[in-house]
Amino acid sequence: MVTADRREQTPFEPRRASTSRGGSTPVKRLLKVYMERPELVALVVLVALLAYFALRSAGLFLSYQNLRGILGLFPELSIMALGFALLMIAGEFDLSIGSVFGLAPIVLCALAQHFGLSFWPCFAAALLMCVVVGLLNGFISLSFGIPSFITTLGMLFMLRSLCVVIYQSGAAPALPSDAPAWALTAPIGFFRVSTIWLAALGLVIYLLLERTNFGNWVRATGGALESAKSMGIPTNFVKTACFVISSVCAGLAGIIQVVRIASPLPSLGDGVELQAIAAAVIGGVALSGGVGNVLGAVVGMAIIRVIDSGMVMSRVDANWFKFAVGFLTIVAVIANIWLGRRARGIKVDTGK
Amino acid sequence: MTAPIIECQHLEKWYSGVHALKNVSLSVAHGEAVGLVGDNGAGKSTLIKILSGVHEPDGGTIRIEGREVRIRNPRQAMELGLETIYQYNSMVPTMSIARNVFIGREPLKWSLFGLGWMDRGKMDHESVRAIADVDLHLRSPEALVGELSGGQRQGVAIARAMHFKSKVLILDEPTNHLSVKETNKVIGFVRDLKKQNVTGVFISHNMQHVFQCCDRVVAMARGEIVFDRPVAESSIEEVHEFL
Amino acid sequence: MRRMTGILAAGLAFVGLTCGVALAADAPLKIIYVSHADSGNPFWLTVKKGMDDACAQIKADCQMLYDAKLGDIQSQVANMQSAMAQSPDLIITSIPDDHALNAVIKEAVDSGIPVIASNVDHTQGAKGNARLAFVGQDFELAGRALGNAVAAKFPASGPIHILLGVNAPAENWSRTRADGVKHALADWAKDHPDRPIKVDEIDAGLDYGTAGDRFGSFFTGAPDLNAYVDTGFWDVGVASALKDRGVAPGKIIIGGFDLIPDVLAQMKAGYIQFHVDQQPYLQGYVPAMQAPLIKKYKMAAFDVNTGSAVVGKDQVDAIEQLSKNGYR
Repeated sequence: MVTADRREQTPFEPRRASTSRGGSTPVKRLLKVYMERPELVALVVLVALLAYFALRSAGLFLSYQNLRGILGLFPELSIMALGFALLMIAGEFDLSIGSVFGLAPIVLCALAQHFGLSFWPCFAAALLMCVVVGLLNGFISLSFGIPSFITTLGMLFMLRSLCVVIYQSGAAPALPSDAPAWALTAPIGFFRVSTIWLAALGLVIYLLLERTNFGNWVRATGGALESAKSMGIPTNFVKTACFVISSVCAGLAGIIQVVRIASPLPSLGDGVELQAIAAAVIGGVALSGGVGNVLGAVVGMAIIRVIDSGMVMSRVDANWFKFAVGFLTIVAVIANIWLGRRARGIKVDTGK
Repeated sequence: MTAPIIECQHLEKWYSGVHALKNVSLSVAHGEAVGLVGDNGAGKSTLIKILSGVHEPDGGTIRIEGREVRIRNPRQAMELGLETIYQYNSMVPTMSIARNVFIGREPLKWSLFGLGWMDRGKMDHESVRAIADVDLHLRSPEALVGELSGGQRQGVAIARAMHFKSKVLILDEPTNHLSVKETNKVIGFVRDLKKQNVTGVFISHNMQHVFQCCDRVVAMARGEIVFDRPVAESSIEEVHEFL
Repeated sequence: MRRMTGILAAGLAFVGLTCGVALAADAPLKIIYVSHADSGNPFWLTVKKGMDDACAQIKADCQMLYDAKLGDIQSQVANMQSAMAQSPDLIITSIPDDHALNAVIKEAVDSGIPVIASNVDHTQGAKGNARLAFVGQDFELAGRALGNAVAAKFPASGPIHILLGVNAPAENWSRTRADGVKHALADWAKDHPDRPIKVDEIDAGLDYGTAGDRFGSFFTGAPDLNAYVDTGFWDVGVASALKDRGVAPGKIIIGGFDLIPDVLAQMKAGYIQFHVDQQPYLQGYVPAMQAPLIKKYKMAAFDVNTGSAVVGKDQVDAIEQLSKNGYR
């Protein structure tokens, strides 16, 4: 057996503080380790944006009222982005989340209204419907080998149509009077209950991805499908499970929003899938799969909401509004990528 | 005389109209290092895919340690003790070494219906050991496999197979993209498999390599086995004549 | 196999026979409505109900074609062309764009298919487009009516700050309504030269969540705000945002367009003061009713202004049940 080259160090030595390479301080090392993670870079970008808008609005942007206002819509869209990011990491897309966001509350309200059921059974039924949608998305894409982009695009249209059909079948479904705002979205001082839902779901999905064998399979399935298959991972099961989680998150988010604001219109959720994709990508989830973190998607969504809110506060003209939002989003992504590259370029001894 | 560890008899396989395997019978004894050679399209990779569980044969039988088996998927192949190291598809580059070593077979602290909490400490600890056992030197079990060289990746794949105590190691053109030094390492490794009581099937284009480390050479052409003799009783030129 | 062929032949013969019979008798009128909206919009469900009720009365075969996405002009042009291919007795269409539909509407009219515009007209009316008549709301007038109603509720003294939520700055209906409101406010400013008035605009988006969120951000920076006017019904989201902040109903004057149950609920709660109803039911009903008049009695198509009626809190109860049943 060829013996080890003496220049190579013994395996797995802890990283040394000093080397012949020009030295690296603990700060530099810390910077490198943390900046290499795209979700943490996104956090830096978020803080920069908060500072920028705070300056522009003479501090008003960071006022209690404003931040509290942002925490209305933000948790709902972030819950949706969580599930979507998990699915992206598994290597698939779900464009139907916007339609599920709208259909779940419509189904809930219609069931409550037409059958006189109380809130929670209808809630369970609506989420069950989301599970079915996820299973269908997975089954159709995987059995027929259709790119999930296409399958879920078709599902987007079909479900949106169902929204209209159900809405029109009899009197327009209204939010049931026993809808428990306390459980879903009631304000508790600065936060809302929906923030708690976001934190809990975020933690669960994060741990699922990082600490369970299922999470390992998700990353493998998204990162290198053939390798995962050849190592015996049930990739179809993994993907289908992620489709289900994505749909359930979207449905839950829609229900929370409707309980917060008003009755579900059939157009509810139209177009939100683009925000979820943008949030995930800004947060470091790769479009190709296998890379990223669901928490990054939450940070990405925060960036999007901050930009939106900041632009309004900056009194950007209504006609230029979409331009400004789009422009700043691109700037945020570029900053994200640039910072990440700089981090990788930092020379720190790693015992290599 | 004990039963051969692998015994394939009269294997047949058709791929979209092509007769990929024609009446292929191959026997591999315990601790033997068999070299499988042949040009592209000869049927080598088809045979390997059947042994590793990716495909099922259309006809014929497979016996592992005397028992007839049906290898329906890669997981079953691994459970039978057959580990395959592919040219490209053994690793997930975006994941760490430790995760890759235990992929699909993660040690769990607790679990329900097969899904559960990974024991990361054990994964790190044992992947360190597994890699050291094959005399490979790497930064850290948390390093991404994508950052390793081709040879190092193959090294990790081999360490993985050895860790899970496979009975047979099938190496599918493992030295194709390696440097000279790394290639020598792999060849030396195949030679030493016998000491660890592991059987090896080594597929290669390179006849020299095969003659350096294998006990027996099997040549395939046009879906059939055309040559099967101990290395000691043949020569490279002789094998070429049959191909 | 022979039996199948026999059954098939018998079936085809039957179909041919009945078709012939149908053609010989008085064929029902065929009416197609080409809308610029997508099928999820509750406003349009009322339009469709109007059309369906009319068609039931005149025994016509009616169809409504939607865009894939609200305001997708190309999709609407394509729908117009497929509508023409069916040789209907009347095409009803909205004209949300001043250019894209002119050619295809002219083609239809020239080929003998009457075209009546509904809901949104060409900004130059009959001068800009070949459509025979317009049934709908004049957005400019409606905006003015709402602007006047809101201004009438301004506090008696002090400067005025009003926010317009333009939900779709790229689209005719939203723009023109906002402009109508602004013109009314300009008139008010002329009448009250001593009162400074500031009019701001934001892109309020097309859903409750976005409207509420953006209003909230603006309001935080403008606590002196007196009024908010939406160019649609998404002021429901704004009302919800105000309630969430603990602002008392009526402290900020809120107005918008179109009546849907959520709007009525917020009017009852006191957060929304005025909405302009364009009576969408009529926008489907009236054009469809003109079909037999044009086809059988060769009458000319006629314009109908479906209204700039401003609805306030007093009328809510009466309208509520009608709204739930899809008439208003």
